[in-house]
Amino acid sequence: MKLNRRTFLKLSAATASMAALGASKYRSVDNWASANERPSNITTAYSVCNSCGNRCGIMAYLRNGRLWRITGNPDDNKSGGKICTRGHGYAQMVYDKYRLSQPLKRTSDGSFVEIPWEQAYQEIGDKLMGVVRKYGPQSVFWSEYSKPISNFYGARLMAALGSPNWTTHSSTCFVGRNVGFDYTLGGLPSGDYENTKYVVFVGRSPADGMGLNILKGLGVAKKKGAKVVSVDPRLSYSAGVLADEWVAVKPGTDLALLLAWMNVLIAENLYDKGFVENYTVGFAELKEMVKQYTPEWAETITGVKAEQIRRIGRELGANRPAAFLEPGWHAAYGSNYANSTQTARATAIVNGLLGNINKPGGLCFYNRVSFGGLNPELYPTPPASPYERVDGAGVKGKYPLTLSTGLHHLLPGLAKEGKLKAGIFYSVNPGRTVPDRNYVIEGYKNLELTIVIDWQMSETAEQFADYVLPESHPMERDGIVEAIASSRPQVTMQAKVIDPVHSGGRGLDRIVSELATAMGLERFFNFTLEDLNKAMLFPLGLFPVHLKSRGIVDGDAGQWHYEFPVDGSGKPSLRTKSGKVEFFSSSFAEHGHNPLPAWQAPKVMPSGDKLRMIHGHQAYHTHAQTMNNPYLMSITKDYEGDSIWLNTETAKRLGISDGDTVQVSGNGWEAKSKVKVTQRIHPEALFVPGGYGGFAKSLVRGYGIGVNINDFLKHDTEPISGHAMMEEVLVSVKRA
Amino acid sequence: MSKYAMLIDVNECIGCYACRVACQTTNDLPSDISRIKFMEKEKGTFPETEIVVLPTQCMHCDEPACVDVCPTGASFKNEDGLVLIDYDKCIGCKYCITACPYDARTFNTSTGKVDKCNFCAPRVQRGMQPACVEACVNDARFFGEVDDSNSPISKLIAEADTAKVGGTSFYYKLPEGWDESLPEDAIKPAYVKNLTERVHPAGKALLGLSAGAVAASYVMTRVNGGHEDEE
Amino acid sequence: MSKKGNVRIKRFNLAERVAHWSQAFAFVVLFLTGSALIFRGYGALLGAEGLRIAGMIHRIIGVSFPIIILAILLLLTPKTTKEWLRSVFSWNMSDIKFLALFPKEFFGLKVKLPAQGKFNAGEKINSLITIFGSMLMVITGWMLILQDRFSPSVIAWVHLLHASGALLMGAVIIAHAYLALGHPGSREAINGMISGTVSEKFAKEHHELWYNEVKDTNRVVVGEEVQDLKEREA
Repeated sequence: MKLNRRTFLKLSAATASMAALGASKYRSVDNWASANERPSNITTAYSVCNSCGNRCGIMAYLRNGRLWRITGNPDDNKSGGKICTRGHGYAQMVYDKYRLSQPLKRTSDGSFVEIPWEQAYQEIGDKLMGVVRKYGPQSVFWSEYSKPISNFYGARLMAALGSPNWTTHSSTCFVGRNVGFDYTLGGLPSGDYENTKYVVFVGRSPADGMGLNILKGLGVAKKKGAKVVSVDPRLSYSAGVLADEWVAVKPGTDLALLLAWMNVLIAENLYDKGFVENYTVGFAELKEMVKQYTPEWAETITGVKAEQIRRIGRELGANRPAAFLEPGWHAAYGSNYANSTQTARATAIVNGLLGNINKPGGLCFYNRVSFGGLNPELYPTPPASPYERVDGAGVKGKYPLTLSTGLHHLLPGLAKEGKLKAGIFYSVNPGRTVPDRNYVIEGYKNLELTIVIDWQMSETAEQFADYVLPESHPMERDGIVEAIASSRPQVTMQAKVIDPVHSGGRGLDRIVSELATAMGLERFFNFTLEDLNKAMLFPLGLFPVHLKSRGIVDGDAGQWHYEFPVDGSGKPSLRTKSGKVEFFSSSFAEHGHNPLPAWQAPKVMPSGDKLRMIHGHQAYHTHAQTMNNPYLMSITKDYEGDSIWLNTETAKRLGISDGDTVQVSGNGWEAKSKVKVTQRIHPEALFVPGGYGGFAKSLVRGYGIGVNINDFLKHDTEPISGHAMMEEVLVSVKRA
Repeated sequence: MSKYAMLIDVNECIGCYACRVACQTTNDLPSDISRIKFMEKEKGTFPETEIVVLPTQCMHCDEPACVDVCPTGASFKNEDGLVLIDYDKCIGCKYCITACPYDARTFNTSTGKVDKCNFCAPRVQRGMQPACVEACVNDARFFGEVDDSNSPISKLIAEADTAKVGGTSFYYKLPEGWDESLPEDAIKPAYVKNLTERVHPAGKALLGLSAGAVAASYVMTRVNGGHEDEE
Repeated sequence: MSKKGNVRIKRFNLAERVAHWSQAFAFVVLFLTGSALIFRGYGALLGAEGLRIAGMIHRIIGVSFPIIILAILLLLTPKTTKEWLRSVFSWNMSDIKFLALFPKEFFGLKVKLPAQGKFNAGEKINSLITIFGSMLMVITGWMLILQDRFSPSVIAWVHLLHASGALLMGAVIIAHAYLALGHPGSREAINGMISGTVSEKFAKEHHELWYNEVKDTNRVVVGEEVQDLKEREA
């Protein structure tokens, strides 16, 4: 405090009015509150949260034009009027001092210098076109953390260049689940939580990974007496708080549990015979296969007691069709184990046996609105690339069954082989979020041109970007209209909430369009984002201004009926080959994979003091993206959220106590971490909270905090869906 | 007695910290200062493990220790039962931080003053819920007027599994078998008694005694006169 | 007027005196700024802003002066510091006797006090309270400054000790200042802390053992100063 004139005046005033301190002048809430509030003009605006892939509707409160706080948009079926920890923290980053504000170019000494946008476009455009001319358009790729804006602009830019390589983060996230469900149910249904009587989460934790609609739905269902079961090697907050029962499965063995449930449902005639007869294929083969997979057998694999497995199987059967196995996300099915794709298939199959498809309290393929598109006569659509994807996604003999979003963890290797020469990374950080740090960085360093587009620095930008283009923060710009699938389908859009804090940042739509113009491809980008949104909304009779003023608008997509999908002639019309639930997948057989999800062990198994490293979300972080967020990192600091978890018995055996610093080593990597010793985790597992282990020096708040599972992994690929097998790793741990 | 009360249903608290960050942004707190603290407990042996997450914040005590020790009257309890801080008077002496039995007060280095939950009085004034209640993603938090026996919170308080933190405006619903994790009743810490009823009066008495002896000596030495040093 | 004139005995060197007055200044400022939180009427008089400034002054003085005082005592006059410490920590029967008789002396009754060294037993007690009291105040003061690093239950005790120490030392200071300034039997001692010398008579009567030791070596003749002082007293 400075002792200035004003302070002195105040001091003398205070001395003069000594009586003032006696009785308080604030007696009621009203007086106190008004005395302690700054005069302000509060306004609100609707938008969509960008802190993770859920994209919940939000309401932003501005005070005197400055973003103050956000809440969930109560109209949004996805957020249910709430917004999670990460969303609250993420919004504030718009004012963060570590945001990027000017295009950066790497100089010969490895450092970055700021350059004007025009120079950036010109140089990048020239170099990119140079690569296309020299090596062909298939040597260029786009890599993103999937977002609606980049799904459109990234894919369109690649098409305009003639490249087939538009890629998202799916192969290190959820691809196994999607492939498993696509080839069984023809897509990914949503749970009808509010009406369910029995729900089993296999691996997924909506309380940690955050599923606001799930929390809301479960709240309603539980009040009506629904039971929630969580299958997880770790007592997550879902298993510990939301669930009535925890099934503490040995990590990587969920498939055995699911096979035992099939066994119980079939052997005890608890499955839905009518449904199986009408809407499924391959029941006979399935029945024959699962005979061997008794709960007793599963106990030997999973470590879960046979009685518990059998009882839950019976409870599922008793509560069908208002019972379902939740389709999950990353943990058991997405991209972790050699058996993950088949585990996803098995989950879909159990749901098929329960006959819960499009039933109240079951799994539903909700409607979503159909958007229009740009008129190709006015806005020419770039032709599809004539080349095969370099990563082999959808390519016969490689990964024909996987998604068109590609296999991004293969790209560094392809860069090293010389098959890829230039890449654009949008809001994605493979330098840290893809397994095997050295493989990724050394591989990508072979690229002749690397462009990173993001609003903050990242390991990717620091380690191997040639140019970093600053995107504006989502609070500063519009996005593309989005459809929310639900029993009451809705439409929403990310909308600009405040004027840009940094004049230097630009929206992705503008960056891509301007870059395309610099490359002479402006004919494919002769429209604005507003034009695009108008065209998409046209069939709905809406304009962007409707979404901006109301946030969420109910879309007319026809009345929702709990009916199995059928086509015009009444034939089952799931989006599988047969239109039915495929217990037996001829597509899998065709490409040399087991058409039935027979038991298959994970690639590696823990033994002795070798533990399986597992990972998972914390409710307050989104992967590596929030590691420089001061609000969220302060939670980590206050509660030692970066500690790894070790089972109490295991720790005792290894002479480790709670709070110790331990050395973890595996696959040639070593790292130190604080340890939380707990009864909440399987004795053969070591849990690493997701997102930590940052090594980007410019992300100061997360630099050097915690460990990253990806550092302990070796580059690897599962053959069916082509995922990265992110928990096939054994580590040893000792006191440091 | 308080007019307002807060209830946390620990059965529903998933320990996500959404309330913490919503509170920080709503109340313009620096990112490293939180008005809400979280205690996590586990019991049982794998795989029969159970957990609870117990959020705590200012309990708005009926007889707040912080108010007793505050030397400037900055901390006070208003007629609605809220314990509030008059920031004009807070000098950041931190006595209240020491006195609080719930560790609910924090020193805000950016303002040089003490900070704590005020039940979002500015929002309550407008008929809104506190930010933590609004933000809770799993509806574990409830707030309302207890004067009105028909209010939703009064009904929740009346339920059998609701426990009151004695002497405060705070209630919890705890899962079965977790009764012992309820925060203790608001008994004034020994510190408060020692400071206000022992150290301060005794010290003041000692000072008075000393001054009295000096005065007596002054008079007596002069009355007795003729001390050898006097010439 | 004294006929012994201007024969004086050197008692404290400059460094000792600067250290003493630094301690005195620091204590008074710290007590005045700190006790505003104990005496609420006085705190109210300062007002919130005044208390914040008081707090700031309290911390600046409380952090800096102990270092300054220690530096003076240990670097500038280590010999006398050592002697002082040796003296205040060595006690014998005559000290006890002195203390037993002192209250009578304090209230102006005639007593024959036993012969004392450079520091009488009362001064030794005052020194001990100052040494240990200051240490207590410095340690607890630092803990309060860094209170975020300690648990509230530790700080609860630290704070009580800090307040107790302040009040106890305050009570002692009142008596100490009176003896030096207002008590007819001992007020000559103040000169020892101002000019550094005391009158031969005072030295002989109050610190006979010490006087016998140093009467030849520490003898100084400074006429005017004594005269001035006497005039001031008159």
